[in-house]
Amino acid sequence: MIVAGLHDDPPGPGTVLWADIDHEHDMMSTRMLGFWLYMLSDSLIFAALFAAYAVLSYPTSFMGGPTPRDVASPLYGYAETVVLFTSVFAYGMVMVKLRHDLPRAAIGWLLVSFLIGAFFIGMETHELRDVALAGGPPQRSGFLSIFWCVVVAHGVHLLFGLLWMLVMVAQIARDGFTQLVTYRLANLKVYWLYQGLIWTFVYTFVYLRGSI
Amino acid sequence: MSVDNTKPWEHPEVSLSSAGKYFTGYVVTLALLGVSLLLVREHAMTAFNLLATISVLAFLTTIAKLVFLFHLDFSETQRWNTLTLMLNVPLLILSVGLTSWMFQVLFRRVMMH
Repeated sequence: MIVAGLHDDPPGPGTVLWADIDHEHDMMSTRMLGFWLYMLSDSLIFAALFAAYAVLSYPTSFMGGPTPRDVASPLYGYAETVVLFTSVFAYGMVMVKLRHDLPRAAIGWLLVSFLIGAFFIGMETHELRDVALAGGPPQRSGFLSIFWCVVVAHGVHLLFGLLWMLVMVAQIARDGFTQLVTYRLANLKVYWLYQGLIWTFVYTFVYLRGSI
Repeated sequence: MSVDNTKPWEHPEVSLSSAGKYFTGYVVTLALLGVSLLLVREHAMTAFNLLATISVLAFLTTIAKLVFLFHLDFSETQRWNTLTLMLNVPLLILSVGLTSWMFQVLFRRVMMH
């Protein structure tokens, strides 16, 4: 394959501008890049939610109801952070086991990541139930609407990730590390790590900023 | 780029995974957010400075995640991922930043408070 770079000779009569034959595509790389682009577009959804959160966190949007300080505890939020990041680390170990072609160990780490992720959902549900019972359901004020929206949007992403993990456990058990299973595991890695990345912003700008 | 498809787990993107890097990323990101937590709990500085500091710490956490967990760099395997992210970041900053700025000015000028 001829690769033209910046420092090549200037084109002349003999220059080949493109290849006559199509070379073989790397199916896994193509699909992983496609999924990466999808995740970048998903980040714009969160950008819209964070923009709305910034707009709706002025005192006029509290409508006399709970404020950010009342609904988001930094310490509880940090406990959630530790739990979620641990699940992300466990998923990292799935990739390490994949790299070393150890399907049973990969299934084990997938289940660990799943259980810790499910525990995070439990913590979040517990937290939101308390907020609702303490007079902070989403319909109470503009601020509470966007607070619930941001936290639940992230939680729903996690639920789909958990579902995807169970599907991958079944696929590894059935097929082993085939090409299809491998690129799906790599995409789920991007998906799961990305949820940890989004949580960084949820924690900083919802939980911590609310208590400043 | 040609890849030996008979062993999918030897794909270049899978080969980037390393337990050491994942663990480093885990510890560094938790430590950075832990510093944010401590600063906020202690009310260590004025509100504006505190917000600026935890924003910088969130940015550093993001960089640590991108390097240690997502393995982004300019190698042949990863450069398109890195480039598309770099093109995406201005969109994120503009959509959040301009909206916040617009409403901050609006709030200051016209809203009752």
